[in-house]
Amino acid sequence: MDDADLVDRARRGDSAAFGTLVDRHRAAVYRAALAVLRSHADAEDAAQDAFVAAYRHLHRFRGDSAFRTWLLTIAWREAINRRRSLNAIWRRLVDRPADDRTEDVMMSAASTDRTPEQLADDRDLRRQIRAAIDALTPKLRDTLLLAQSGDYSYDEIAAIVGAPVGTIKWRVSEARRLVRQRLHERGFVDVG
Amino acid sequence: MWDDALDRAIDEVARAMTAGEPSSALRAQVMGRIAVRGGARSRTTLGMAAAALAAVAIVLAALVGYREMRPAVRSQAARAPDTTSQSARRPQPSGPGRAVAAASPNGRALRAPAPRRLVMPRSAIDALAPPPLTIDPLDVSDLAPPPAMDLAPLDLHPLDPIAPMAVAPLGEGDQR
Repeated sequence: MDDADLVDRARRGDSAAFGTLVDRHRAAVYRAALAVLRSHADAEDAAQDAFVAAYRHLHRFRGDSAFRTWLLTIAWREAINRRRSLNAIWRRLVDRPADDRTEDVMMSAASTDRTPEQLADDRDLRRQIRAAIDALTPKLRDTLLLAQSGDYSYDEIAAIVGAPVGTIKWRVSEARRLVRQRLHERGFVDVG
Repeated sequence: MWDDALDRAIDEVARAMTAGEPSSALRAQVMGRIAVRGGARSRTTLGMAAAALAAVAIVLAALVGYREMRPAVRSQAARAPDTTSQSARRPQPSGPGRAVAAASPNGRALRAPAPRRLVMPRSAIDALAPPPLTIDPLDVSDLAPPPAMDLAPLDLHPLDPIAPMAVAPLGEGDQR
């Protein structure tokens, strides 16, 4: 059963149909929120809020775009609002996002057939890349993270963020250029 | 070459920064919130409808009662005794109060009407009563009882007694 059928059934009060939609799109919604919030707990809360808001406003979905795109747009706004809230700013100051999980993923991807020295270099490079991405403006950083997550097409990102596809491509390219530039300034001249 | 390798590293790090899965309880949490919200909204809607109905009934009752009272007040005013001769014998007050009394259009002193009392016949009130509300009972299912908690008893040991301390005054040699 495709999304449109499930949406129709959910509109008629079939909550199980909406539950199927939640299952189908929860990872994409969660990662979109994570790209903005950078905290797994906040992303989970934002994903929940996005699904609840989507259910409440299901009657407004006209089918002009795919349900998934409409849902991701809601999740994006929810995450942006959450990031702007004073509460979230305070929590980021007091308790930094769960970097450990990200660090684990980064190192497990890099730890294949490498010597300890190379692993140490990789670790340092990836920390510097992460710091450079953190230093980007929110627009460039959000777009780069969405694009590189592998879950969304450029068209989808354009619809979610509300910018033309050309702008999205430029932002990704510009974000990469700024990260490279920062690494050059830090003395990285060869990845090996 | 260098930039290609660096781009690959950037892509990997960016992908790792958004890697992760939501908890498996996400669906249950969302559905729970939707169910709670739906129940609260239906209760709110019913309450608001009942309140609006009651408000309309009160306004209608007040309007009808007011219309029935107006002719009665007029007839009372018509039967009120003429106080012109009495007021002529009494000493007239001076100041603005007198000016108001003299400003009647027909030249007669006006007497302030007695405070109105809203008296309605019992039958009229009964006729205006709103019909009884029939509200369908809410379909609320019972919550499942919480699972029993299997807690191991705490193993507590009494504390060792504290030996009393002997405190003796300092001797002269101990003082500096």
